[in-house]
Amino acid sequence: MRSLAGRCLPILLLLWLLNAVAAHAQTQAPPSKPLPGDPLASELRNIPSGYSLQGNNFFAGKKQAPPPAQVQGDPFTTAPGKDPFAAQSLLAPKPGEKKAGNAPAELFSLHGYVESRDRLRIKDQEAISLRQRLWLESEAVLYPAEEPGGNHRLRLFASGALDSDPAASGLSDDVPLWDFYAEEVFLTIDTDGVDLILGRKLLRIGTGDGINPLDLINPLDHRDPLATGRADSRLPVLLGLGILPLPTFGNLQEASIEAVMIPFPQVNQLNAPGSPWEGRGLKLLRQTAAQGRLILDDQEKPSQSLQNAEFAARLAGTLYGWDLALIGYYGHLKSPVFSRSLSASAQGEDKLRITPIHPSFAAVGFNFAKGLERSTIRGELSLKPDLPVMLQGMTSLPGYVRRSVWEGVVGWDRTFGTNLYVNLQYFCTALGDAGEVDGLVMDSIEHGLSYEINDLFWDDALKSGMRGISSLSGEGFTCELYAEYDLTDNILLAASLMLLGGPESGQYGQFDDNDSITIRVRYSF
Amino acid sequence: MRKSASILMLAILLLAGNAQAADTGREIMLKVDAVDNSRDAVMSSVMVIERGDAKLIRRMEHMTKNYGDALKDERTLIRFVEPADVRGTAYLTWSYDDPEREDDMWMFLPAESLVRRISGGGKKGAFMRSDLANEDIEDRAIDDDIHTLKGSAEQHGADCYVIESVPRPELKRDTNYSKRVQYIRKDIYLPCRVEYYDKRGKLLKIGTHGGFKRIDGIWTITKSIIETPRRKTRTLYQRSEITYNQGLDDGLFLQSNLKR
Repeated sequence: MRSLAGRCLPILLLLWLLNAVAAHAQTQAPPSKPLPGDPLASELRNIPSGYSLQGNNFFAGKKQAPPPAQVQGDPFTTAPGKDPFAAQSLLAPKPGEKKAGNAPAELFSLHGYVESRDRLRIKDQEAISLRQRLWLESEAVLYPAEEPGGNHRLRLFASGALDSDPAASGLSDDVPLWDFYAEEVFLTIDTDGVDLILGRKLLRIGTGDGINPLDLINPLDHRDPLATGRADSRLPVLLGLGILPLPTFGNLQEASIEAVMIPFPQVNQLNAPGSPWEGRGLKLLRQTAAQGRLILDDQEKPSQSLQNAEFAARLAGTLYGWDLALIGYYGHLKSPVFSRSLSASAQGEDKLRITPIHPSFAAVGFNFAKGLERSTIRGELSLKPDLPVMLQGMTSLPGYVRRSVWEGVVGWDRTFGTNLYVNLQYFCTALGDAGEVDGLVMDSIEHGLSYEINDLFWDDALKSGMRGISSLSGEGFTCELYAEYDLTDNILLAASLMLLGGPESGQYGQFDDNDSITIRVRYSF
Repeated sequence: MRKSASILMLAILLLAGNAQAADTGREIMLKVDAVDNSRDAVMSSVMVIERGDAKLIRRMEHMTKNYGDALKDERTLIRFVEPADVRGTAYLTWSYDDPEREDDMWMFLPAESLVRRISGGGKKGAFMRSDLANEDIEDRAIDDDIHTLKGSAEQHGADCYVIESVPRPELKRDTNYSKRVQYIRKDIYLPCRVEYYDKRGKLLKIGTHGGFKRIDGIWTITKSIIETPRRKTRTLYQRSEITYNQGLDDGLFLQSNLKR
């Protein structure tokens, strides 16, 4: 027996030494490549729910009695009465709140905000908008999801507002003193195949960043055409939208096709005389018409018949991490062209008649977006063949020609450090065959930059920055300095200084007089 | 005979010790990662962010589904319910276990009816003004850090491994932390305390996790407190209505699903 022990001892010592070496080699650098098939991880992932994770029992393959649903030593249960969660009434679910999992879904919700937004024009220190708004939006589930976490099968969304703007309504007739209106109202039908959306809706089919050549569905909101220094403000339209997911394969991670029909086309409403957003050209036409030197007709909007229906389609996919989309559109120009004709006057003389019209046109294009390590790049290219382009002067008839127009944007954004956000975009418009016609209002090539830079301060309660659009071909610029402060979860205080400048004939320069300061207070509920 | 038996007993003890020691920091973290072996999960969560007398509330709904042969890739959809001004805002993330592959992320802004591709550049920023950083709520691959077992310690009466997790050198610029010290419970392989150290090596914040519940056979943290002593702020984070393996439809995790 002594002999047996003597033989065992060196082996045991060797084992102990190996053990000691292993115990000291606890730091293990990760392999250079990931180990999706790591045997340890794989084995652990396959643990049936009845097996315990304690010790090495799993590896012995012994089925254990199901462990208890709670464990000893829980920091929030070891000191009864001292659980900080128990003292937080705010953590309790709200009555009627939507639940995840198997809990019953919230069937109706009502939210909104009240806001005072006041805008003072710097030039004459006149208030050009004192908008007081009550905004309500509601969601109703008409047929709940059949599976936990799933989309509700049939749901209704409605939003609307009650606005009062004594300053804007005092300047022009296109903003009423009191305005109670529906904004978006649409029904979503979620099926296993096609999803359908029917109703009044905002729908962005472009990249939605700064300049958007293919965002052609929704017209501008004439009351506030500039939502920010680099974004416009749109109005919803009545539409039907179908979204059909397509099968994927290989590195095609997602694919879908969307079809849109806008049965009754909507276009930009021309601003009334006196509005701060009445363009310089329109103002001159009105003045000339008032002097009797020409006839300026009312805006001739497309008739509200199905014959004038607009259509769009979007084939979208995500391939190797790239969002790619092909887009087609047929509809009406949102901004009018001023058609010219001659009209015989009572004196037998031909008089120039100008009619703002919205001819139809088509557009095709594609866009892309890709997230890089810390940046995102986006781009969009569109071709609008036979797009109506205005001619300068008053002699040519009908005052516009059709030309092919290429529009492209390419943008990049990135967050530096913790929260410093920078967004830059270059845009360019090129007119096909521009040299064949003299006197086009557009240059053969127009281009510019849009930009935004912002950062967060004061524990992220304050967001401050600058954003704008700057033409490099004589259209002028916008530049907005802004700050938004979250006083509480529900109260937002915001202030901004908007500057517009450039040549009087420029897209932005024509609003040179509208440099303004805006103060906004919003309470959300 | 008694001496021989003693030697054999010693050998068994040594071998048993050897089996324990074989768990390196990385292996323990693999076990932590493997605790949630669900294919999908649905849950609600509430954050109460305490800043002096002020309290900010965040309510969210989460859905997650794992993909790939080893269920290592993950798609997550988060929809905000509260505060009111961000209600309906949603984030969709496709994250990949392969550290060489960029995550795909999109944000849905309901007021603008806009789905926008975003990047992971803001990882170091605070998540909705809480004590959590965006990087804290993301699915972090095991091999994004080098894990070292520093020993054992007791936390709230539970025996824990103490693991020091240091970001891989090439990932250091993407994180707020020089290291995290994690206390991993030995019984259920879940962290009950995480200490976050800033780039200068000073303690930045402390996460305490608890409310351990075994839901659908999976041990789950349902309550966390993240404290930032320097700022004297803390965030209480509670998860509820948790269900696993409900067979969530793949269509929920597509861009085309990001709509009202």
